[in-house]
Amino acid sequence: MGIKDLKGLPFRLNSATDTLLKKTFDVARKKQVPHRYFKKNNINLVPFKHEKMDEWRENFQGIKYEYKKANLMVQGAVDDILINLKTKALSPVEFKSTQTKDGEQTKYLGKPHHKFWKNQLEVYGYLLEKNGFKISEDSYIVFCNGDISPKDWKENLQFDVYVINYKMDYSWVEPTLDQIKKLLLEKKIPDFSDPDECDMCRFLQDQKEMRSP
Amino acid sequence: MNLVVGDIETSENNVNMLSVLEASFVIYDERFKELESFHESARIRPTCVPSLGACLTTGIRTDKLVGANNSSFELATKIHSTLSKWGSYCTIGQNFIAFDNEALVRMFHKSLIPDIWLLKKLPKKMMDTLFLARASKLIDNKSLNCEVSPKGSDLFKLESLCKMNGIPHENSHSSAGDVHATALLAKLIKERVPKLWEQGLKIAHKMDAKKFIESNKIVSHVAYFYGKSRWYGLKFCFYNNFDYARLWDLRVSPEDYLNLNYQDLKKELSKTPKVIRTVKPSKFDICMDYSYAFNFEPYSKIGEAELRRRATILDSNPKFIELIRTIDNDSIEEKQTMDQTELIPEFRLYKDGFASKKDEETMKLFHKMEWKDRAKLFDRWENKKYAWFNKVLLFEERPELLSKSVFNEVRDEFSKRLHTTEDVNWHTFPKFAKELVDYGTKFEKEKDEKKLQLLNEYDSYVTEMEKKFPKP
Repeated sequence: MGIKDLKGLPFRLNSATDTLLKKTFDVARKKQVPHRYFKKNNINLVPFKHEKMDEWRENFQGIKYEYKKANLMVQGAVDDILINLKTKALSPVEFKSTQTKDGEQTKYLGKPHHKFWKNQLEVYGYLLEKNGFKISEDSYIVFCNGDISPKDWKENLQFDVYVINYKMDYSWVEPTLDQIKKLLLEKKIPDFSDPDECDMCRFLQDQKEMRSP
Repeated sequence: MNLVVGDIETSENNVNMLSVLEASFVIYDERFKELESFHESARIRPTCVPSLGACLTTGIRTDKLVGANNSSFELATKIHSTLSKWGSYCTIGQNFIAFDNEALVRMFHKSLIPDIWLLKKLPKKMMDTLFLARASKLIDNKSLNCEVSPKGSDLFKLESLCKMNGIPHENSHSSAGDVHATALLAKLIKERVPKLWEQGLKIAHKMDAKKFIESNKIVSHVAYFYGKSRWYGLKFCFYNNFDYARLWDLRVSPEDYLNLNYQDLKKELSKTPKVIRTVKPSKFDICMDYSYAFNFEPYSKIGEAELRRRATILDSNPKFIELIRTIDNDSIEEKQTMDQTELIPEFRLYKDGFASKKDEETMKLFHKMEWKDRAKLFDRWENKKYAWFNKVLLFEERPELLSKSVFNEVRDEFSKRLHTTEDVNWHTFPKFAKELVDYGTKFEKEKDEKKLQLLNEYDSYVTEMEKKFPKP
């Protein structure tokens, strides 16, 4: 519709941690051993070796699937994928890095924005399944929390790393794609969604109210 | 949003004085997948006389009363740290808001834990399956099967709801068994009346409930009294001094009231059925959008146009609303002035308000210290009730660390409280003796040897206790 979201600042530091994490996962992939974070958590999965791995991890490329019913192309760039060598089932992995005092609490994925993390993993699970792979219900978030406790910085940001398991259920994906398609075909632009749920909607709503006589 | 389902089993019903004997909490994700659980029990506080009624219901035996792994204080700190660790969630339980949460807050209060309102602090929220079940039945009669009392009321006790709706309920009246059953009941309500569940989450915090009432102006309120749930179509007017929403019942047209003076209006407002009704945003009082009540009698007969006209009259008469607010708050003040009873420290949770900054700091210090150092804090507290709790904790946990005078002060106060024959709000030796006779007679008639044996055990326990708290 030609309406673009307002741009925020680019997440350069987060991208940097993603890049570094990807490098360490590539080392484990080459050796076909569990990555050290997973080994530490007794999760015996190894990074998945596949010729398309780089494409799947590339922004604006990603894993693709054409959902023919709605004539929509679904794409998602996964951070990494693990495989259970015994069952051959795949588990998508998402890297998240931030700084929060509630690092321990993050493993329960209870905050409102964690819903988006879960959605992200479930879309990857859906895409992988639609590409013909066997999928485990287990997906993972590698959560890196910046440690700001040291008194002397020494130009080195340390992270506490948590491996968070999330059991996927992507049964909602296709009904949502159908809804998206329906919405796109409507002649009228819909009203704003719940302003409490969406900052952008709240911004547009407030702006509309301020402009109205 | 994650859900924490919780339940506690206690030594009696009075939330100010009881001992928590068992506590269970389970955290689930929004699809009810269990993420982690907490199940712990505690010994009864040495200053607390058990109620036979409560103990016979839970089936907790005296060996557990004295032999559980945790003291009451240890259980309080364990519950608090677990519920803090679990982050953001909505707590839910059966009658949790009126009982379990009130008991937990007081348990934290008496354990000198600074953050006593933990479960009600945003982003945490709180719902109650009891209110949801009542509303669910009102919205869709088929959503839940209920047993019916001889008076014709639907029964919403957990045990009964489980029985009638095929919910497995093993170890009923154990906290772990009740938590599991409550989670299944919540899931059932979510599946059968999803709009109610969604709305429940929207009003599960006081601030959100207030926002809903203010922005909707006209709401459908689920009121429950005389064993029945009913719809009320209400127009929001104001919040009174208790921060309760006061709303006009639109079944009554405000026109006849507009020109009344203070005295006449006060008289009219006190008549039943009340035209001004209360919704407590902090207590998960269920409000839905206006359409639910408007589709029920008598509102459906009056018609939406007329109901909206009545609401407009209220909107265009702010002085009238102001007069009602004045009458309302005057009557609250009047009652508060009349009630001059001196409260014992355990009953002063609301009366005293929040702890001062200094007392909060002392609480933090208290929890970092070893017991021997905690005995040196008595003079540090600004509010004397905390000094009393400090002494009681030492008396209950490490009496050997108390000076003789402080030990005697605490013991004598409890001796006085526990031997009193006055009509007090806690369990006493005389009340226990009466219960013992009543239940003894009953079980002898029923020839229930097992229960008579249980009574004997409790009797021995309380007899021992009486020796420690001699009659003043």
